[in-house]
Amino acid sequence: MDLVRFFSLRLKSTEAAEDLVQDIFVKISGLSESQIDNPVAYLYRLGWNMMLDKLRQQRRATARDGDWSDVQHTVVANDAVADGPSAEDVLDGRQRLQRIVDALQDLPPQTQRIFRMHKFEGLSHGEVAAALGISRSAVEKHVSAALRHLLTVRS
Amino acid sequence: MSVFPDDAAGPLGDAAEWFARLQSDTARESDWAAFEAWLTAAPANWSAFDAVERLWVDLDLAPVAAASPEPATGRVLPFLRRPKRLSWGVWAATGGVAAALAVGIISPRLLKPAQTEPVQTIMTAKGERKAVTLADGTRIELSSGTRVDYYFGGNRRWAQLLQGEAAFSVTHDPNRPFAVVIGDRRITDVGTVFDVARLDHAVRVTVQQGAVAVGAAGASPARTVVAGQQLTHVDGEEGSRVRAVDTDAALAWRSGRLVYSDAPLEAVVSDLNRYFATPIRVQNRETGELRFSGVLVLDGEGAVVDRLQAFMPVAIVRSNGVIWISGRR
Repeated sequence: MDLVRFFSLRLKSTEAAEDLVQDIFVKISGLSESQIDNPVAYLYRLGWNMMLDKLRQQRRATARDGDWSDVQHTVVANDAVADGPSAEDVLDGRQRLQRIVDALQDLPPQTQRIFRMHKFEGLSHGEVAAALGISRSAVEKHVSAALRHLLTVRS
Repeated sequence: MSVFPDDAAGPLGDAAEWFARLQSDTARESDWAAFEAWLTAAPANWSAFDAVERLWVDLDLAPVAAASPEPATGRVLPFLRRPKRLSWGVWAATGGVAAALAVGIISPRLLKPAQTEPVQTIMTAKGERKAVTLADGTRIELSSGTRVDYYFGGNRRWAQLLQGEAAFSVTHDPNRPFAVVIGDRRITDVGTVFDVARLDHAVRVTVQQGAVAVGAAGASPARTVVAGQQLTHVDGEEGSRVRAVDTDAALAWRSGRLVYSDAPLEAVVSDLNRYFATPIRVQNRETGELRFSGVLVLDGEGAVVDRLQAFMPVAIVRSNGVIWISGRR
């Protein structure tokens, strides 16, 4: 499998995928490969996080404009095109965010702590694992359990 | 693994699992291939994964509360909004079945526990001192009986002090912040020289140059400690105490000396026990509260203990492999 094909699928555009892959290689040009555990997987994760960054910018802009429609990934592929909001999907943004925060606080303390360290402090699973003296697979399970719960807050 | 009975299941639950899997630094190329296969297997999977991604980025827009620290360690969260919930343990047990089913589509290797490997482990034996310079120029000096694990990856450098005491002279790099994890605290440097000590039930951070930020390992707001200050944090407590200290004295161990000004004997003994093999014990609390001021050259346990006896109103008794210090009347 190759990066361009994978991101073409995700971005629904070969051109956008090629741009993204280009960006990935620009970003890693300063790194030495020996420092990375799984180099190929690292490239996928890097590209994916860049995709998420772009999605974040769009969601931020949408939040500013007060339109909380379901922003589709086609938007990621092409900045100029946004799908029209469907009435049912429109939800007051602040209310949704507040409900996500409430849901986060429902979680057991250990799950919350792990999720916060990973999501808000930007620690990798390995770093969280080492800091708390647990395995990386345990971190992964807590993160996915937290997401499963937060996903009950639907837009 | 679900926390609550109505948590996402089906494609959405699988998507959450995939998301966590791919975010992990243990994910391999084969995981990405398996993910692609899952993603393209059904349109429902596709939209489920989109939903997780939206949630992920929306969390960054959530009110500050989302990033605020959790309540003090050990305090139980009030479960008020959702009375139907059961305890984590119960759901972990039943959730195991669901997890096992969901796992059927993921390769079994995904669940293999993984250990984080430090890039470097630096250790000293009792009575030993050692200095190490890392590739980035950062210098770590280890005191007696110390273990530091050093990690490096992505855009982060960090060390974990598991025991003992170490002084860090960090080469600042805004793109690769340096952090030290010790006990339940995390220290982030702002370009600096600082000392970190693991005490019996506390963590002590002394800053000689520059400044560091110290915060709970699982929370974001941190307290800044600047040159000339020492922070003491008792394990499990919420806050920390910061006071002005003579940092040269606090870091004198680097040249084989311990410097005290009006320190309780108990603290001196606690330090000495980190340097020497034969355990030293204080006979009673009253003796432990005696004050000591002066410089102890760490040339040998016998010599150091004799010097204490010469300068303080104490008597030394050696018995059954323990050096006892008692008050002299």
